[in-house]
Amino acid sequence: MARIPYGVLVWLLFAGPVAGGVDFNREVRPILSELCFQCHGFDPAARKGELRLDERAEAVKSAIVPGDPAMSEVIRRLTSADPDEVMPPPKTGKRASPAQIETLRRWIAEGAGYDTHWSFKPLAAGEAPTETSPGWARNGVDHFVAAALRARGLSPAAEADPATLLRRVTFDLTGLPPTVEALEAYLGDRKPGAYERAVDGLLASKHFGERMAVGWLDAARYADTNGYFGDKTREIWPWRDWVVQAYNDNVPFDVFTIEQLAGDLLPGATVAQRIATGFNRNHMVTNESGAIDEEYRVEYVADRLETTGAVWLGLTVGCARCHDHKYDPLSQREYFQLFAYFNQAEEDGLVREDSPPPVMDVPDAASAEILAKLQATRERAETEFEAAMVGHRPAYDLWERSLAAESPVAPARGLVAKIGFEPGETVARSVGTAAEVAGIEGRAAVFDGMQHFELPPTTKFESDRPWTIGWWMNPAGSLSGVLGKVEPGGARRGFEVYWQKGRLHIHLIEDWGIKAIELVMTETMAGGRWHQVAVTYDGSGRAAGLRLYVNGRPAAVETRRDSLDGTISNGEPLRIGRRDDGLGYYGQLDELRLYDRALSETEAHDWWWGEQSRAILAVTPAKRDASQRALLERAFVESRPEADLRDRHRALEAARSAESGFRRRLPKTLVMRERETPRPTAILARGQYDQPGELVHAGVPAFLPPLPRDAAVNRLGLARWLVAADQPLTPRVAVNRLWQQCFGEGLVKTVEDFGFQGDPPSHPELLDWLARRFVDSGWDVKALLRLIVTSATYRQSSVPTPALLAVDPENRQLARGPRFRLPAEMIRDQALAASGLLSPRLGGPGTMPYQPPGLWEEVTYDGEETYIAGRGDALWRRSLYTFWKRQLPPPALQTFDSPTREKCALSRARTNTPLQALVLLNDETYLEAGRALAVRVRDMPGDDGAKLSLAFRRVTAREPSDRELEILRGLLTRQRERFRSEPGSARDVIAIGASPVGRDLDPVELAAWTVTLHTLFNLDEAITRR
Amino acid sequence: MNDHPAISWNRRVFLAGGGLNLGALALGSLLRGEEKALAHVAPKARRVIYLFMHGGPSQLDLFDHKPGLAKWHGQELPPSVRGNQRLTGMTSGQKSLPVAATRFGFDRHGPGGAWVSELLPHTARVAGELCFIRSMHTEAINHDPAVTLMQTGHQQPGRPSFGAWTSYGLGSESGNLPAFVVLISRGSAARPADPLYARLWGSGFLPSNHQGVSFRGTGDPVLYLSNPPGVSAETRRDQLDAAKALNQVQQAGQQDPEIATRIAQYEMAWRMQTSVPDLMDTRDEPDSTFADYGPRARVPGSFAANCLLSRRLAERGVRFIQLYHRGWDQHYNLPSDLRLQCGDIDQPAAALIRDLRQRGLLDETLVVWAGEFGRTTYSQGKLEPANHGRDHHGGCFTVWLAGGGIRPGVVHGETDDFCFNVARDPVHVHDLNATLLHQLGLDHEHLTHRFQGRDYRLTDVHGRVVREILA
Repeated sequence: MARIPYGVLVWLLFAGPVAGGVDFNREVRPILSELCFQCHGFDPAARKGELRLDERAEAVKSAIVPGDPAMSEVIRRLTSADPDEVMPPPKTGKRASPAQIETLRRWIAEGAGYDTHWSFKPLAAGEAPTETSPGWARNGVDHFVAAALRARGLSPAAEADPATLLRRVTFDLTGLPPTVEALEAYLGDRKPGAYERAVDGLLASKHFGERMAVGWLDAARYADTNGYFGDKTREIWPWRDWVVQAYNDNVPFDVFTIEQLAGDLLPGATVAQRIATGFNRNHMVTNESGAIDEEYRVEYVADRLETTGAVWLGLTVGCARCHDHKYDPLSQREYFQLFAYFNQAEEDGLVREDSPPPVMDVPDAASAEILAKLQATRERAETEFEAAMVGHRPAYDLWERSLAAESPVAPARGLVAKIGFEPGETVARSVGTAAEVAGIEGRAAVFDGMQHFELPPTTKFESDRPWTIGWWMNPAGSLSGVLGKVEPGGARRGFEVYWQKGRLHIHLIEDWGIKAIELVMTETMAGGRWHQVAVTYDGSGRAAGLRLYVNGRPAAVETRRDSLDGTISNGEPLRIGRRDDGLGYYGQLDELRLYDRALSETEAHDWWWGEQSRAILAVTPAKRDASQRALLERAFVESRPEADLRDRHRALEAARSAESGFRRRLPKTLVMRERETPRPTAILARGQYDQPGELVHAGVPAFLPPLPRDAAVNRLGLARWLVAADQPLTPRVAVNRLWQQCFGEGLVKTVEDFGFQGDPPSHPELLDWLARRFVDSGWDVKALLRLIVTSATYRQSSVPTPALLAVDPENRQLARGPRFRLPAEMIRDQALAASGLLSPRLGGPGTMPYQPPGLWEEVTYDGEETYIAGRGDALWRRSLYTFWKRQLPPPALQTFDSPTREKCALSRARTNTPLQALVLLNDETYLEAGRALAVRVRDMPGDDGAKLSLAFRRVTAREPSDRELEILRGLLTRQRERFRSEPGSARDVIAIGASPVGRDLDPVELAAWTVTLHTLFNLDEAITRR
Repeated sequence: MNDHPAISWNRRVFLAGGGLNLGALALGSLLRGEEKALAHVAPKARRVIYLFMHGGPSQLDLFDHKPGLAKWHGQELPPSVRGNQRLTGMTSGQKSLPVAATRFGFDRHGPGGAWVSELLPHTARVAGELCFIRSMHTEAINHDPAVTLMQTGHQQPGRPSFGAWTSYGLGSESGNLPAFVVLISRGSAARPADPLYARLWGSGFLPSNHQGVSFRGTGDPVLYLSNPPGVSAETRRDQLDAAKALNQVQQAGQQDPEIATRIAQYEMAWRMQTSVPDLMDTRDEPDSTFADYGPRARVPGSFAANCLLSRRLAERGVRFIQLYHRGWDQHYNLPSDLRLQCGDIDQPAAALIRDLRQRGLLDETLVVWAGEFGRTTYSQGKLEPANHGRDHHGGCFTVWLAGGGIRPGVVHGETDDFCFNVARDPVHVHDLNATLLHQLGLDHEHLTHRFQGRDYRLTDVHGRVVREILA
């Protein structure tokens, strides 16, 4: 199909008669879209009967006779009783309702005028209606709303009472309840503008950015783990902190956009601008061994594009990946033109690292300073050592020449077997053929899981006798059976070593998983490099008697099991290059020795150094790498008598390791970086990674404004286009979400879909007016929110009259204030804030608050991950910082409808379930908050009633009525009695939660108060923002 | 769709398109019995028990016997058989793809003469109740996408799971249990178990009250179910009464239907505190039950215990009971590990079938036994005299169904002589899901939810009801 440029399209679509009584966009297009476009719309491949109804010129050729519904085939088909004729076909399950048919009839009778889809039109210049609502309207928002209400014979509600209003706006702008102090200040401020002043204070609060970030994190599918398969932990929280800071700094939305989509491409990009690009790295990534790299890389690019399309354009771009969009005018070619922008990242589909590159260090100011000092120290140490070495160069050369002869050799005593993997060697039986390459000494064997070597079953590995086995390994792949003398099934009795993702696992097994010693390295060894490994065992039957040396030094290990109490002997051969008779080894092996005694640490070191040094000497000096040179240097220095030289060298090594250690501990964050050479982008047939077709260049859809002539052909060009002055969608979409934040729903209810299938706006002129104000203000987010929350519309009471509830149950007309259950994070944050437990600290790595035990073990790979709740204030940080594991998202937040963060989410459901009741009743978070609140009101002046009122107020922002106070007093009294008779229960109740309990407190009294105030967090009013 | 003559769907449509404030409407859509959408078609099954064998059990060692492969043992898989099927990254680089014939004995069982391996003697004895589909196939070749496809109809995350769709479409029949319950057990295989993901029982873009509720063998059977230490039932009741009284004060003034719902949900939570422990406590079962399901049925969290629980859940009207048994990923050590895995599931799964039959529940309960794919005919890694492994294989695999209006004792579909390709009557994952929905009375093309402008289905834009296997 020939594509029609934007301007021409607008003209063409306007070319029909001007719409009469029936509004095409609001009334007709949704009907056509729902019933007809799937087969008679934009996608030529899906088009049936060569009929399209999405363009007037085509529709009037056969299906529609303007002015004459009776002669129009469309009406005849929609109303036909013949199952072969009726449209839509019965198998679709769709049928036009009488009301829909009547609308179409009237529309055709009036001339069947088409109109450009409302959201694709330029923003209306839009002044607010001049007709005001005297005494009610406070700003432009209200003029639009009042006009619409009047047209429907409705009138606005009274203003909400001040406390309710302050609680409402405090949640909406900071995600927290108002403090009692803020409440009193506000209620006591009798001067005009008190509310506006309160709003300004909230907008200036550092908690504003935290509240705003939650919605943006949903949109950006932010999480702390990689999501697919192994779901490893990644580090990208600096991006989350960037978002909080950007909102607090009121970064204009266009800058916010450009930096997140293309900060790395800005000239002289700052660290912060590069951190911002983490937006496009938040998608999931896979580490599943069998995954096909390109398949997943394509998914990542698609995810970026579809997220960007939803967040900025409100378009369901993904619908055009496999074929032209069925509803909106977006072709598959255009999809891949947009895809091309995101297809240039330097990345893999199958990732190896937990935080897959590109990754950057994120030192804060203090860390940067420390790092600079460490770097200077290391450089100075280098200079000093080099200077000290000058005089020793001749001695060094002599030493190196003699090293080959003098360096230690592996111990001879107790040697049972030695395998050098040399050609022609017959020590071990070869099963399958191993290739050979240059090794540590002579040749090494190469394994690809298909071969191994065997020593006979008589080879001794017993649990009650000492032995040592050591070898050189250069591992490849992620999971490998290094060696084992172990039964393949049953009890799996024996000894085995396997390598998994950089860690050696060593098992001495009597009965698999029950009676065994299981050790695993805590640090990782790099793949693709040679390491020497020695395992010594003293015959004690205890994990403490089993030691692991890597490159001559003891390796840190974790004991996973230490329950061996019998034999490990079996009739299996010792397989080298295989775990049992299944899992093979991938990589290279060399110089294996077996002893019938436990070697000492010194022996293990000498063994390694002898073979290591000779291997280095075999390399010509010019070809040695830095680590090889450093090893020789250290050995030389340690062999010298001069204390000064040794000290300098030790200082240098200490400085090096301090610097590299500090660098390793610096926060990292995933960022975007473009490839050096652009990657061509092809249209993928059916969206499949392995079906590339015609190549396309980066570009934007024809139905939207064109790119400026000088636009960069990269993400920066695209980002600037998204926030260009003539872009109709971005400001509407952005403003609509800000409205949703304050009213619970957008003016356009389908916040993620502004296309043909989306809902039309309830107040189109208001939406355009807000969008225009937003752009004209320089994309000022705080100003727009201020405009919304200071409107009379927002300030209305949310209590409807029964009559209003009947005519407008969803409050689309805004004849009352918005009311809805709080989002998940706010429910918990409120309990923490009201009780005083909340930590005010901003930012940092994901935190781990209370979570029931055992959940991670149920789902993680081999059950190997355990959730360990944090300590200290980590338990009481705001919920937006909660560590987000995609495989099993925080359960209490999930219960209150948080998204999973696997995909972009722009709105949340609001359910009301018994599982929510169970969280609020039994999660220790809320019991502990009840206790903390009890302690907080305990010392306040007054009787029980005064204290109950204060606590009530901290949660609901209002005074309880007499009746309410009476109910609470009754509960308190009864619980006092009960706990007095059961002091043990009282102690149990107050022991819930990690925060300290004052020793001087009476347990019975505190428990009764805890239970009573805990009840407050369970009230509908507590978790509803009215 | 609103006016489709065969269904009364209006309220659901309102839920779907009518905004997000679901509380009042969702009253009981998690738990309330009377809320049921009328089915599209006459339902045969009222509920599903889905025994998911996570990891991909080997069809050629369990059900799809190929005696002719013995003579190919150790020889290269002919390239013509492999065709252009994708191999995973784990064996695509393997230079040799030697055929590994099964090492296990097979016999024919049941009226349909279905082959069942010696590893599954109990299953063999109930073969007359089972319908084997040997011609299953999927395009996914790795766990994450394959299991996500099986359970949500799409390889990538974001879609509702099967159980969530069922809850959404049919609601619950239980007064005090969720519509969708998940039970997880760990296999005995030595190999580490592959991960699961909450998305497999998630609600995707459906409201979260349709997500599966995990009933656990250790700790609280349902998260946050138990009263905290020191809080007695009496105290809890007192708290609930106070909260109710306070909520009622508000209800009078607020005109908010959510408050009534909230009060009702707190009462439901209170009832669950009794009903769930009652359900989980199997001490009231006679010894004969444990003789049938095997001794491990007394071990909480085991597959056997979960099978027994699934019957108890079925009796109590839970709509979708999803079991996962982990550890079926036999890349190596297949002979020993597969035996261990089969030992876990054989007796309890067969006992479940018999038990449902005896109680008259089998006809209205659809039991599904399936993994996310099958395994390769060729050996992964070296083919040893007594050992080998098999890689993932999407080209063909076997599932069995029982009860719920499925024809018992039949074998549907056929694979080629190498058990590598479907030779007759292919059944895609979408076809299976369409069939399961059909038995529940739901037309897979009509069970839709509007999200991001599109009417999504469990079967995406595919799926065909396999009428040949319907009773």
